[in-house]
Amino acid sequence: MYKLLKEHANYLGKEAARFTSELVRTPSQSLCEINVAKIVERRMNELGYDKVIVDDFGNVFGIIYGVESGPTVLLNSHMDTVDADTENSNWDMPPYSGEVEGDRLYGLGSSDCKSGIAVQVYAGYLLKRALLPLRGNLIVAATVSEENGLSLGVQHLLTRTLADMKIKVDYAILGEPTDLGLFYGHDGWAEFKIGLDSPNPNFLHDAAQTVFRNLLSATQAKGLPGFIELMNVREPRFDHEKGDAYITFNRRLFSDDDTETLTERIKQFSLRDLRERNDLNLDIQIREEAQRLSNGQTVQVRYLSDAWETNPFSPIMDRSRQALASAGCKNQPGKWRLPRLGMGTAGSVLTKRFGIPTIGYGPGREDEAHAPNEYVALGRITEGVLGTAAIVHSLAGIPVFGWTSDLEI
Amino acid sequence: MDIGPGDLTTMNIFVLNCGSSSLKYGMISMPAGEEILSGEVQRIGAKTAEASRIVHRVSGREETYPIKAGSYKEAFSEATRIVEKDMSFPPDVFAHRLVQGGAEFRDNTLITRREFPLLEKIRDLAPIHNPPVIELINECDARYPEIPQAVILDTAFHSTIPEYAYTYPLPEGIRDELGIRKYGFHGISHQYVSEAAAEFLGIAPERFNAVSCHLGSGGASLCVVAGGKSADNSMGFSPLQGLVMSTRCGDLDPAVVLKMIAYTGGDYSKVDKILNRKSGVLGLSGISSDIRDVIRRAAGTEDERSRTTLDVYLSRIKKYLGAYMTVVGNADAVIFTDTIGESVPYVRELVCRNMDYFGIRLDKWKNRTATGLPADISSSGSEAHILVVRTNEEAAIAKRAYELLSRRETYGHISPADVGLVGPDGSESAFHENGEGANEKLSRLDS
Amino acid sequence: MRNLVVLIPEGFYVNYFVYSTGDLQPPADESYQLQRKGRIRSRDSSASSDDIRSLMDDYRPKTVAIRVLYGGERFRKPALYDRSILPALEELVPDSPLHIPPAIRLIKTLERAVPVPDMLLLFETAFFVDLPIQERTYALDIESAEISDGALDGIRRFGYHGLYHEAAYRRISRQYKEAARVISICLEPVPEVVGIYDGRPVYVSGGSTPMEGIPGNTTCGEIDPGIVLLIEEKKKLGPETINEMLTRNSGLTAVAGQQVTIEDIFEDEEKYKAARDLLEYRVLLSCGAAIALMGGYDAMVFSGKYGHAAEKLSKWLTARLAGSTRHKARQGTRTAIVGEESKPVLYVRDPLDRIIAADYCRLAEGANV
Repeated sequence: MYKLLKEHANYLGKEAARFTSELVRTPSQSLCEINVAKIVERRMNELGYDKVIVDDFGNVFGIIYGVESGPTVLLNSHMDTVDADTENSNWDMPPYSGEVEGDRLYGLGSSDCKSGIAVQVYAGYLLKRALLPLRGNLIVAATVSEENGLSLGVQHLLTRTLADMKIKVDYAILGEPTDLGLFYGHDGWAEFKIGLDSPNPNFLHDAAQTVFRNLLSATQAKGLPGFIELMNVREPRFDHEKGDAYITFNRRLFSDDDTETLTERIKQFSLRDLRERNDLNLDIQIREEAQRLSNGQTVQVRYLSDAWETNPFSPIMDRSRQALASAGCKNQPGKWRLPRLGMGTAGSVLTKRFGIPTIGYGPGREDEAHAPNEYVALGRITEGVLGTAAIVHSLAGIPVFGWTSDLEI
Repeated sequence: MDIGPGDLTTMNIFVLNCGSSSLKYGMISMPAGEEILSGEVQRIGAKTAEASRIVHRVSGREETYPIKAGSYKEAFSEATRIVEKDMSFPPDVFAHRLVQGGAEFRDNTLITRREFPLLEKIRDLAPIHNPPVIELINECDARYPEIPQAVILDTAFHSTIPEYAYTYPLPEGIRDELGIRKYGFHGISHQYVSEAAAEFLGIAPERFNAVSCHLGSGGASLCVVAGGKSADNSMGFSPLQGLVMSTRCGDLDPAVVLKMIAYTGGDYSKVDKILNRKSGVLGLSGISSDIRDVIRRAAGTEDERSRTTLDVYLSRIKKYLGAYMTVVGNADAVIFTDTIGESVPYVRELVCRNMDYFGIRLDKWKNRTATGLPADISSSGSEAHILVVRTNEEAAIAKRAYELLSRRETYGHISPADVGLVGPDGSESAFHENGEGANEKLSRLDS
Repeated sequence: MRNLVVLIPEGFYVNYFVYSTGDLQPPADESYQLQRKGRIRSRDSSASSDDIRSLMDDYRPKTVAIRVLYGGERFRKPALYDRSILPALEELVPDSPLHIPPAIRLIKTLERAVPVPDMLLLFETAFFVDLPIQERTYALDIESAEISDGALDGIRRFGYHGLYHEAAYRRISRQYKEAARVISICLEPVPEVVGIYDGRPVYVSGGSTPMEGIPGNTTCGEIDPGIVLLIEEKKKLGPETINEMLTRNSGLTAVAGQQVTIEDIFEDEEKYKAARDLLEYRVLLSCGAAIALMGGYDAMVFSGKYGHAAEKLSKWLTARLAGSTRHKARQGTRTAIVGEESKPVLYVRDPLDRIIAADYCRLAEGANV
């Protein structure tokens, strides 16, 4: 059976790479994903997905129906990218070229995560083309508003779109960059906002500076007991008319962090060395913001991405690792390091909010995400198509035991 | 001290036979083979619905003692306390039954502390059966360091199975790494009943050919006996292969096992439980793991499922009997033994029905009235004798242990190598110098 | 002259055989001739469709006979395709995920040919549908809720060389009319032993898949189910990799330590002794089991591509089987010696496509489709 899949994948990998290039050439900053969505929708229809749907948030997904009532697998990648930011960083390659040089396909979103979309779309097609039936349904979803909206697209897909269709997802695989490692989680982060106001404007200024210094000190000395490691503490902003000020900063979240306790600890820490507190109102919370989606709807965004982890010895990990090994693919477990702040994946909401066992398996490299001259290796795309199909088959396929595809009988 | 084979003194062998939650024991006087006393500690374990107890039999009476037995060690301790009331303890030898000896223990052996690390290696080979045995060997050594201990293997009799029959055609690497080969089981019983059958028919054991059917109420297997030696057994690497058993599936397409593993998300222990404990007669019938219950229900009722269960059960035995009769070629006898084999004439009758081709013709009347065992239930026109022989595991174990000891005695002395006191390089172990070697233990036998 | 195209899917390919069938006068065996044969790579669905269509254009066959590996309990004889058959085939997909989908695709391609040929579907499992219940049932609780999603649904024993066995039986019963109990041994890469009583199989070495039974060139055959569990427990390889091991790297190849076929191991007596001993022994056990269920046997027939091996194997086998019935007389009680007369042994040397062509002719004459 794997020989069969491999033969097809070798051919389809090239098509998936061309498709990646097409996606990269189509800009899709967060909240402006509609052009990419159209391309994905058209391709899924061309490839013969049983059903292709674009929901009211702009998520596009294709379904391949299973022949039994087996588990439903969701393959998910996001369509949006961060801004190219060509002025402040050094893009040698034009970010929207989608050009191939050697074994690399360059462009914004090539690693994060348009190659993920292409691999997942073609993995579904690979199973169809190799005529390997599934027990349960396969849903391949390219979603909106990941980078800017913290998985808003996925949340909507699950709470509304799929729920209305009475589809319950049993396993999820993210096409986020893992360099084809089998990733089972990452730390989280939150963006905090401390608001200060006081009847006394002079005191407010001093207090804000003290709080800022306290917070800043928490970015330096690491490893002390009870230490709260903060990042990106920004200078206080004052609104002299209203007589208030605010400071924003970030904090990594670990799986055992409880945001309420953490908020209280940060509050106490920021007030260190501050006298006459009675004159000061200090309010600390996780930053929120209203955002307008590509379809015109406005939603409230909370700047928090939970840490998440799928048990590395759970069935989804074991079976995926075994399937990759059988297909002759790389099968190395790992976790995202999230080298750049503000990064995260839909794994947080998939695992925490929906309780869906989730892993990451994508062709991109984490280091390339949000980086200038972002690229993806072509070889990874081909192997990713094969590997993703193998994983899906192990989780929801009709097992082919007692036979091999090239068995003469 | 030199003693000849004939001079070997009478000895009392205390046999310990661990089940999955029970401990059978018996004090056998050898060479006479007389059972002095016997008993069974039932429901051993931390969590049992009913309290543990000992059923103790001595001089024809049976006594029941409620006891506390959370472990095999405790069970052993309680059993010895009761045995001590009837006779002096410790015995001359302890003999343990070991279900699966793996590559480490291929033959029955006397065991000393030196081999204890080897025991650890086979602990997982039979995860239900081996650990209690190891616990008891350690306990006997701790409490009675001077008493020799014999380990009698279910797999020893099957060590003569030829390569083409014990080899599973899997890649050599995995075979070697995991010790995959046919080990066979019930060897103690197959050997015991085939010796008894040969004696009954007056045939020299080394010229005796038969198919032995050990049909227990739990496990069951058929064995090819050629020239008194085992040449094949329907159980394989594990006791799961072969016949339809009370709760084990027996032969099954390996692809089905793979499918079950995939459908459970890789939960092989769940699959193991289903195939070992929820299948077989129980899984087929849905009502009982005891084929006798199924026979009762199948008789004269419209219970299709029971009827099918019985047909599958009998058909599988017939297939193996036919296969093994072809292998033997020239069988002196077909032997039936153990609970079902000894006490259910219906099973014997149906298994032997329409087997003329193999020279098997059963006499229905003899079959139904067979009481004094061994009994020959073949009709006068049958080429092969059909014998019902009572198996007695404790007596069989004692017999093997006695053989083991007398074999040593025959040579006049016990060499360190015989009892594992010589390292692979020929050096004597430090353990020997400590004066706790098997020579010490065996010296009791000389007196 | 009419053309018949026989299609035999095999791995990545569809093998095709074009026969001219004459005017179908009996005996059918002689009335057709192979015109052309070849294989179409079925890797790419659109390309293979084109190839199939051009084959149809070249020969415009009245009938295309398609070998289908699995037909479940629904197909107990060859079926002439009509639209009602498609849903029935689709229902079989879960039981035969590797073979039914390509068969469906092939049929759909042929449906678009002009003119649309008659499609005769010949199922390898059809012969075994009515195996006696005690032979087709595994000792499992298949309704058990313990395995999710019905992994055991419909699990039963089949056989996988039904077309060979049926042809072999037909041949031997034509030649030896009194032979009611036949041992049929098919020597193909995955060999199979069947006991046929009055035309009906009562014993088969194969299982719910071809993995069970006699070890093949690279397939393990019957093994202790506990071994599968052991390998998974100790190596955590996963069922897919274990399946690869058991179907591609086991069997006679694993015993010989190098890639071999059944034909090979009978060529070099010394080199492959271990593999040959094992195969012979396992076939012997199967014959014994078949004999036990039939109460004896009257004839033996070999089929399959390894004809040379069949001749050598049959000599050894018949000698051993004769030996098993040569019982010594019990003192004073018996005289007769059973089974010592030699039983007829027949070899069917036709390849599968020829057998299918013969089946077609026979069916067309009898119009019994």
